[in-house]
Amino acid sequence: MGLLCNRASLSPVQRRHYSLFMGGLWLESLAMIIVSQSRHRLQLTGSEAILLAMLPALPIFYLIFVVARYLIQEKDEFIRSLIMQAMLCGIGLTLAVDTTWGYLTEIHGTSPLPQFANFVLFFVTGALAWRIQLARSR
Amino acid sequence: MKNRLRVLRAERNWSQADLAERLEVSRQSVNAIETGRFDPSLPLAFKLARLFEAPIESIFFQE
Repeated sequence: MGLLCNRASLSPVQRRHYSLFMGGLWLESLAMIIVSQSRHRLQLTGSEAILLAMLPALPIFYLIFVVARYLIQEKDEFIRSLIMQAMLCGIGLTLAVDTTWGYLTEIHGTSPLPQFANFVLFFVTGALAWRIQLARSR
Repeated sequence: MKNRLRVLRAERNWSQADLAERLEVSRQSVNAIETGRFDPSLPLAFKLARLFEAPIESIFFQE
């Protein structure tokens, strides 16, 4: 939980959105567990399989909505710019890892990176970038 | 862009946190502006000018 920030130092707007964001992360984790468990136990096909596969995507929409709403409500322009930079770092690193892994799979025969891992990769790299920026801005 | 924020703040015996509270921004923002790592938007620059009762160009200037 401490990966993102020190909760005590947050403004009311940040605290509110932090709680919403953490709720979204729990939902995402739950959805991922449900899908990975169900695919082994249930033999779903067709539309049921599509619906089950879409389940972990729903909390991602929610998380993007929470971040967008936070960026609208955050009055501090410097903090807004830090968030944008952290998200760009997350996107950049995720794409870089995906590209490298993709070529490794093609050239070296490495097992492909599961695409659902992209969200985790984006979240972890974005959160790390956020922590580094916060430390630099003390 | 350079600025005289640190000097103006020191003249008033304000800490970065004091200035941040008056500007309704984070202390990190004040620090980033002071050290030249972040250029404030026009509305924030006007807010600073009003707070220090000085024209913007006397607070911010080209390097």
